[in-house]
Amino acid sequence: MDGVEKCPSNSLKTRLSYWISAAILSVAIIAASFTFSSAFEEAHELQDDVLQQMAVLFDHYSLTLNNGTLTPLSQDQLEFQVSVQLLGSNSASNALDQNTLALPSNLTDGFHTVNLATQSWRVFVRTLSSTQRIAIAQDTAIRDDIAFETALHTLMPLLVLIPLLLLLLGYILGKILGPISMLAHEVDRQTEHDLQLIPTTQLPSEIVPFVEAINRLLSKNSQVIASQKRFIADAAHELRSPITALSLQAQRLQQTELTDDARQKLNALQAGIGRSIHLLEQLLSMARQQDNSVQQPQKISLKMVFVEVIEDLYPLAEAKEIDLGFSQDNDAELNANPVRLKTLIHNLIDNAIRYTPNGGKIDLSITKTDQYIEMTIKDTGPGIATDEALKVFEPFYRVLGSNEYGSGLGLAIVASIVQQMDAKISLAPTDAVNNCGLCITVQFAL
Amino acid sequence: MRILLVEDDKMIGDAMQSALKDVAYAVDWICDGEAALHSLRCQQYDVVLLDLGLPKLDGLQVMQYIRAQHPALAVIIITARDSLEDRVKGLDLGADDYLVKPFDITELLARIRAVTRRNANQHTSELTNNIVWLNPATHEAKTLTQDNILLSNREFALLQTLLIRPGSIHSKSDLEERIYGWGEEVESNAVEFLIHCLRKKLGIETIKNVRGVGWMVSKNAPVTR
Repeated sequence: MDGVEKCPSNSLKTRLSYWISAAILSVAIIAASFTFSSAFEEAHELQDDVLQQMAVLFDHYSLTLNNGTLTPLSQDQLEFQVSVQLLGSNSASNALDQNTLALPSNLTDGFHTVNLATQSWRVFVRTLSSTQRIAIAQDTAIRDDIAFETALHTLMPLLVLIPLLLLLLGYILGKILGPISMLAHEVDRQTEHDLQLIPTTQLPSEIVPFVEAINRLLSKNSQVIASQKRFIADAAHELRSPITALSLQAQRLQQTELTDDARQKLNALQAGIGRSIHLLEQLLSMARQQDNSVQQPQKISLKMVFVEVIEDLYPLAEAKEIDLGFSQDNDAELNANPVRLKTLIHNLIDNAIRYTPNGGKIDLSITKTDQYIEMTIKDTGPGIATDEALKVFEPFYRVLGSNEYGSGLGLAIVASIVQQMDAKISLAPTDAVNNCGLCITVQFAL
Repeated sequence: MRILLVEDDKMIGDAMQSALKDVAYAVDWICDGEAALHSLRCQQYDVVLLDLGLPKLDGLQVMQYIRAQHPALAVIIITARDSLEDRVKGLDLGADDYLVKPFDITELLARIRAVTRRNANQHTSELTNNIVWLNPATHEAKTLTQDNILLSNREFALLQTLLIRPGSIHSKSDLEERIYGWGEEVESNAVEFLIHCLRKKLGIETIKNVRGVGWMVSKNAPVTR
């Protein structure tokens, strides 16, 4: 769905808007030109009618002209200027007269458009009953102006309505295609751990089959994921029995009399079994962590969870003479799933103990502000290089050169829990100057 | 003490049986659920160690039978399944305790001791983590090197609090609540002073401090009965 954002030419909305707008505009242009030209013609015909009417009036009321001069009917500058003059008789003497048009005397009765030197005239010639011929003339430029304006007036509604129509089109398309972007958000909200079917109610019937297909894919997918999780959990549980057998046998051996050499080898064997047990527990923890049917979140004291974890891990810290504790006595209440939170803190402190050399120090702290609750775990171990800071959260990734036998899953589980709790995790050196030690900060938004 | 061990895995059963025999328990080892029921009908047991994934008859069904027929018999479920539902199910059906594979023999023995003690109603027996022992009747403590160490009332109350759950950390306010009665004036540093006295009497390492959290005594150290 992101593709839609990046490539507008592929967007249904853009394409629909584009084509519908183009169609509306072309129809509008054609309609407008028809309307315009017919209105233009209409106005001209009207003006011709007026000229003809005037000629008839002249005839009817036996109006006469002074020497056939061009007579504006009014001295005011009117838009609709009409002049009347006699044709033919004095055209030569009138040639120099400013007010007389040099109309050719051989114009037949009827309408003519005469182009004179400066302007062109629309002329109606009529032979009166007194055998005088009159020419009623009107400046074509004025005529055209008037016709143009009249035609333009007819276009007005169209010119105003088209942009409105386009705006309306955009709005309607947005409204109709809204469910599709909603759908995109729905699909986006899916996480790999929590696949839920998309509701098909309130969707346009054309999209429903598409969504149903997505839903089928989602349910197939979640079945696959579920069976994989089951397989991991089952495999890990199945591994428990042989490892238990091995571990118990080694413990039995420990009780017997052994030579120093054999005891040393047995210790190595037990260390190996210990590693396997640790890996197994982490695998199961990972499988459990990814199982969604765990308890609901509840309000818990972060410090209490820390204390529980320290109780579990204290023997390990004690064996390495590590000073493990809180730098100050703070606590904060957190809404979380207790099992997950405990696993998260357990893995972080367990790692700190593993990688901190004998006699080191691990400092824990809890900070609460208005926006977030933060916990930090600072150790005096070797730290993690900046370029490895992201990789360490990958399953089975090990920092090379560390002699510690981790399962390679601890931080992957941490990352998974942090993601599910919507928290943020960051790594930094404890001692920035010498670039050593690891300070892990986890921030829970409130 | 007679123990019924119901475990279908040969290697595990074998190791458990020998370990239990080493500490002088009488052990009958059975490999399936039906045989377990049969043994329970013929023989009196003090403790049953029950694996859940059994052939022929499921462990939980055996558990139900035991609770119906022998309400007082101590049962420890031993299983590779550690999901919360499995555990709750087992405990709801009346198991006294729960042990997840892989486990240490020392832990198994400690749990057997705990359930038999509970069943014998010896709640007031001496408290210990196998490093220090505390007798509630006489308020006396002993260590591996020294017997009959007499404790003051408040020292006793504090050590008792720590020894009820060895390995659990108690905060200062936690301990103050235990050693002061209602309405008594809490003196500052009283807890630190008592810890100091106890360490003097029992050895510096008996009570451990976790910076910024509180005090504890070590978890049960391995010991053979």
